[in-house]
Amino acid sequence: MDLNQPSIYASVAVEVKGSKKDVLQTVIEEVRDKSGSVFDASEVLKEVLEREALSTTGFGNGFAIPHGKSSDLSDPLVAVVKLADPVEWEAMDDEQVDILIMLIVPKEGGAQSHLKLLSQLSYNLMDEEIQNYLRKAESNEDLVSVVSGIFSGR
Amino acid sequence: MNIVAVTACATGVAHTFMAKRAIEDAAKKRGHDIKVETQGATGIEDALTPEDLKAADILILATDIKLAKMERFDQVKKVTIPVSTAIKNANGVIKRIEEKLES
Repeated sequence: MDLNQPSIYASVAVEVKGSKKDVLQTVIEEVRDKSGSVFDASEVLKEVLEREALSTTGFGNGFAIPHGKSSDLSDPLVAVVKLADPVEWEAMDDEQVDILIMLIVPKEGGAQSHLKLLSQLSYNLMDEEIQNYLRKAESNEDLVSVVSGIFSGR
Repeated sequence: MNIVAVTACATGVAHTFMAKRAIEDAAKKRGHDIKVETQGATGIEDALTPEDLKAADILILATDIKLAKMERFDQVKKVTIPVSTAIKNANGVIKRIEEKLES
């Protein structure tokens, strides 16, 4: 197993309507229920919302990269989800967001390597080609493949 | 042109690296040489060397915070922009620089 590779949860069809907070709560709970990782969803939601309050993670073209920490996880987890309905995110380009790439990292230990994951994600998600791949992805496997490509430096 | 840049953001990581990528892509698209230093929560990466700065036609400071080691840049022609401008409209930034420097 590639040590730099976080576990990745993907879903091409998350159906949720409401505010950014409602959407984040639903997505975080879905990730908890379906990814096989056990964590306190309310803690992660609080973390992610605190980060959003500092400055939006909606970086344009319908993409956002919410992120936060969990005391329960021992390994980083990435969730990439496509929303059936776009949500208002106060994004940099004022467009609504419909693709989330969420990073949840363990609260304890490895701060530098977690920041490295976030910097790799942020840097590569600005790549138009990667954005196009994610937008065109029609299966969960396709989403996982694009995101794992980012971390393996492909 | 030979363009160098430094990116940094208040929260430390995500915007810093998005801005790096946006500036790199925009500069390359227009056929410029580009090197971008990041000052994020992980410290300084891809640091601009005295040689880089000496060869640079322009330095872009894309930052919302006070940068470290600013004294390195005293002798370089520079433009300062918010980090969000670099992420949203790096192409426009490069274009404006071309217009200013080539006119």
